[in-house]
Amino acid sequence: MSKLPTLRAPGFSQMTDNVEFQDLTPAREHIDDSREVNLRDLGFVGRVSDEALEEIRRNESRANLVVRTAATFAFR
Amino acid sequence: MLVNLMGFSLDPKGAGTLKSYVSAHQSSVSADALVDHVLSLGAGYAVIEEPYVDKDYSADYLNFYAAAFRNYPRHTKRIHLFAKSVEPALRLPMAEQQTALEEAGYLGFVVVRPIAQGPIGRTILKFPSLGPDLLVRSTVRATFNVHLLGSRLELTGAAPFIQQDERLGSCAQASIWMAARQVHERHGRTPWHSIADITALATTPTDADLSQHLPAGSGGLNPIHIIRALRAMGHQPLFDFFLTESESGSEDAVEVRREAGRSIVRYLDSGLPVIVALADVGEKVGHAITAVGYVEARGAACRASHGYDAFVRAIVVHDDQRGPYRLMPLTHDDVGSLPKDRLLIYSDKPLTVEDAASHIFVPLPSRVFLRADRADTVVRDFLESYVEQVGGAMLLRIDGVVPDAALAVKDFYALVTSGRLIRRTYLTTAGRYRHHLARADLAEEIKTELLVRRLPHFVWVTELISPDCPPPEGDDARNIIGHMVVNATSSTDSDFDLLMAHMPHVLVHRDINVEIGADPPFKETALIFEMHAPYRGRKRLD
Repeated sequence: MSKLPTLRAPGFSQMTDNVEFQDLTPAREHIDDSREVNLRDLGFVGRVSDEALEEIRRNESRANLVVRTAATFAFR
Repeated sequence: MLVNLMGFSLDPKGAGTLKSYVSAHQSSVSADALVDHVLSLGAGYAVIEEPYVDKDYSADYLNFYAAAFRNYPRHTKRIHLFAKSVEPALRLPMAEQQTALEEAGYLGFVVVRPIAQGPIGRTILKFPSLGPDLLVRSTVRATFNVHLLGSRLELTGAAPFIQQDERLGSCAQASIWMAARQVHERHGRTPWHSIADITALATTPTDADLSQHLPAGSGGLNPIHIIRALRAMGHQPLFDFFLTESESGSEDAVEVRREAGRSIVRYLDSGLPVIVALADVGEKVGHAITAVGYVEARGAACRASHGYDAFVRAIVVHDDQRGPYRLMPLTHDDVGSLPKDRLLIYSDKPLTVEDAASHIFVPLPSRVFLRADRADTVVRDFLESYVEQVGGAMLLRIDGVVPDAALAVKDFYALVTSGRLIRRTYLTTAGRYRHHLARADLAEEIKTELLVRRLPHFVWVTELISPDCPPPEGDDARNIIGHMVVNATSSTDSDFDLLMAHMPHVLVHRDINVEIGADPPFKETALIFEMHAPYRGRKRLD
């Protein structure tokens, strides 16, 4: 439980400091150090590889051929 | 003017009468298929509601038929279909009729337009059931409320169908209408559009192609017109192309053709309709149809593939010229496993996705900037890099914490390195992803770690599936051994795409909101969990 400081808005409304807030965020299990691994410490940086980037570029280029087919195909 | 309701039993004679109505007394493949579908749903009784003011036909009337020299009627007929006779129900006091009509088994309706060249108007019918060996995934469906003389009937699990009228629109407009109407009804993120609206949006600005036919646009649309219409309707149009300049039969050409089925299934699994164009089904004439679901084999994988198409036999399509809920097998090998009377036939041969699908157009939500194939590539690349670069080191760490985990982890690595791991990739919102996760049979501690992570509004989820997974129970989803989450609102740097990866005994979280200038511009943390067991994948609901 915690208390927030009073916030006073000028004019019509007021938030008071006498409300007790309950933290409803789901409680995460305590994870000790042996179960938490910074992958960078193991030498891993999960950047997308050049091969994957080339595959993405190739797929996008293929998809863009649709525009070039406008003069060739009409769907009726 | 009064509303008339006329009922008749759908015995063989009644089925013939229904066929006459929906074909305008002409030979029509689409009408035959529609009536066969209605009978396969178990329809035993039909009610004709006349006159019926249909919003779609009224728009067509206003935009074309009202200005014709020949008189066209302003109103339509609506034919409601029930499993049982509703004659007793409609004799009851009005207040009791709704329950009785519901008990008669409402199956949907067909609007019959007073135009001979395309009488089948807005049609809402349930998806088919194809027997015990085939699972119909009705992924593109919506719920419709129908009013019949004061009774409200709800129809769930249906995809809208319509026939082209050859005046205001062709198959292209019909396929756009069938895709867009479902998105409008189910997601409510785009406005209502009639066929006339679609033609107007596709033909503005006009060009020489469109003007070859009068009225402009009635002779068909090319890919750019389709894209233009989808964008103007409020969608983010996504398109793809599956013909290559590589030699036919070459490894590259075969892989691109296979990608067509894989790609279509990804978007269908996202609850998105897919407009499938068939470039060559006539003399220099293409055809467009709308995919609304897929048919899954209940047993093991039916082909070697890294996508969910491994389990899929066919896509379910609405073809305005061949009828609703037709089947398009992914390959010729699938033809024998499917009911022949639902296949799309051209020149006496079944059309398959692998052979005939040339283009696809998908009405994505406007805030999605990442293609499904890119999400899938990013996921595969991460898994391969992870196993290759730190798989051994992580195994040692896991073994130190959970001694009996090694077998499951090694099996998973083997699936990744051999390329046998099946990836089911689909688009969803963070809210729906969390909703499914909260109900999944996954260990509570892992769920909690996943649920509290901040996510963008749209995410691509990739479920990781073993090719040896058991058949699904009932119409449930298959069991999965992990899943990954990709940012669907990413568009520039691929390094910011992946957000989370759940693998056996490990959850990797990538925090991309680190301080500006950090190298790499994200932080990846792996958490090791004691618990691991396959859990149920997502079953798409209304």
